[in-house]
Amino acid sequence: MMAIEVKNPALWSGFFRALPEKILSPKDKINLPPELLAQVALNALMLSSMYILMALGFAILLGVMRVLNFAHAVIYMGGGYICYQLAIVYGLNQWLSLMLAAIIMGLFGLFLERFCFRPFFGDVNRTLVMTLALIVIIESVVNILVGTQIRSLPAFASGIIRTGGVSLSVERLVTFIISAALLLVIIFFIQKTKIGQQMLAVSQDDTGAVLQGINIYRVSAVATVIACALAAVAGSLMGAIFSLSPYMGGHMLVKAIEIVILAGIGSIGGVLVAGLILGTIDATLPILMSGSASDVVGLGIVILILLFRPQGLFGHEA
Amino acid sequence: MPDEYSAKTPYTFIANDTTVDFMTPNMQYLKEAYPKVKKITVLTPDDGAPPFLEPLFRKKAKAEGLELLDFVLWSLDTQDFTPVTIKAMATKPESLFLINGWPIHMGSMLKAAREMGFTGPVLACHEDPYDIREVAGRDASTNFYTHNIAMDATEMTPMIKEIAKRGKAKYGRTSPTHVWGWSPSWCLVQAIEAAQSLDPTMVKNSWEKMASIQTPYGTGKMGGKKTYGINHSVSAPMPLVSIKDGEVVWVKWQDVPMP
Repeated sequence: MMAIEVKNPALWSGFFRALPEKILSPKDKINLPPELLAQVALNALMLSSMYILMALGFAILLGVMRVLNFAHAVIYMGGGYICYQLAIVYGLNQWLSLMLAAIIMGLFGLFLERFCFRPFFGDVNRTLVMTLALIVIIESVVNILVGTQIRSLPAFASGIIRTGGVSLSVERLVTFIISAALLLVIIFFIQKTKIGQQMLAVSQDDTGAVLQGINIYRVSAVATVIACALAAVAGSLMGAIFSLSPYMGGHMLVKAIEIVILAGIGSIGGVLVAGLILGTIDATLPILMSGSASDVVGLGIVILILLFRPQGLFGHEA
Repeated sequence: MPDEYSAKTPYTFIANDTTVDFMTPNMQYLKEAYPKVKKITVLTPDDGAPPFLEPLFRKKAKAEGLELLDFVLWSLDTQDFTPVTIKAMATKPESLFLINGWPIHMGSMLKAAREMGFTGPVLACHEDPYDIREVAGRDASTNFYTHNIAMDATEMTPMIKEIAKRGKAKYGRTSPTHVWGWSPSWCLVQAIEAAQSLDPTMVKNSWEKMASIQTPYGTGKMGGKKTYGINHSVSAPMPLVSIKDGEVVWVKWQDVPMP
């Protein structure tokens, strides 16, 4: 084994000694009064629900079709912009626009499955390249059509609820309720409906599913439609809470991937737990430490969990 | 930052007022409009600039009789600004300063602050108030101040009005970015005309000696020797605008001192 000589050990030991100080500098030790602590907890719940909503569709596609659909980011973005176009430009009711955006992107999912995923079924590399190409194409098209002008959907529900020093926007509460409802609907759909059980069978063993007479292409099409519709709902709701931009999907896609890996591939219920963990990390670390350090530590926690449980919290060992 | 603009970068000129330039005018307006407000918390991105900005801000705040409570840093990847706003609120500020960042960041912070019940003045350095209002929503967009251009205000200079008119004709809408982009270009043209040469060294030598220079905001002068170590900043008056109850309203022109 080759011996590695560490040049200037004093410099490196100084670096590692200084690292915790950089991450948690004394001035970051803040005292939060109880009402702000409660605010942090509430925000963690709200943020978790947003992440879960984004991750749900991604998890379904990965679980059923073994497709790492990076294009989920642009479907999320596209859903938001379609909702904006319908609600603001064409003047439709905003809730109706959200539903139409989900339907339109769901139908786009049919196109995706038939022409982008099915030809490369089982070929992970080609499917990955296809999804990356879709990102570039769709982002560029939206950028050309919409430009860099800032856009934002109006709140789906306005108002602030204040109680005991804690504030909660009705908009975020509604998003939480929709996320929770959709999660329950998806879990019920997978566990109690015939097509849901078929999706489960395909995710466990697609060859076995075919031998049982299951039409895996039909199952894949349904999964893609659901995934795209969920992404569109997420994009529309986030487009109101945050803002719209052709590149808005990247950050949320990373969160979706983290959640799905942390949950364990194929575990829809695990998305709930993983979403709560990640939402809590992202809602609390920026308060405890400065700026970019919170991103580093947050990812570090996820990596640490995976080191002890590489299959994810609810995944099965290979 | 010194590596971007200092005596070590002799061919760099700044022809739009910067974050540092706006600190004092913002504080002076805060004192004028909100004389009881003394405590400020700053929110700024963790992009490498804070080690240079914080001491400057602290010094300027002290000179104006204001107290800097904290310099709260947020990651450039931040999407939900509620956590950093909670951190800022924990310092019990009377005013928030949002320095650096884009409208999507500042609008989100303004929205988060108002959702948490903060009603004090929020000041930003140099951002498009229309974009901030778009992100924050009309309900949250109040008591917000920024040095920027109210493109439709009658108090704008003839040059700004002309840029606004051409922007609307070509793009259907106008934006302060049309003026920001024009200003340095026009300054450079004037420097080239003064040098009567395209040679960079001659243009540099000529530009830094110009007694006055025209900008879309009015007549500017060269400065920056004491602040940056080099006399390459164009200091021009800047318009201060505010968003009150969802409407962008004109406040006043302010001189931007650039020692």
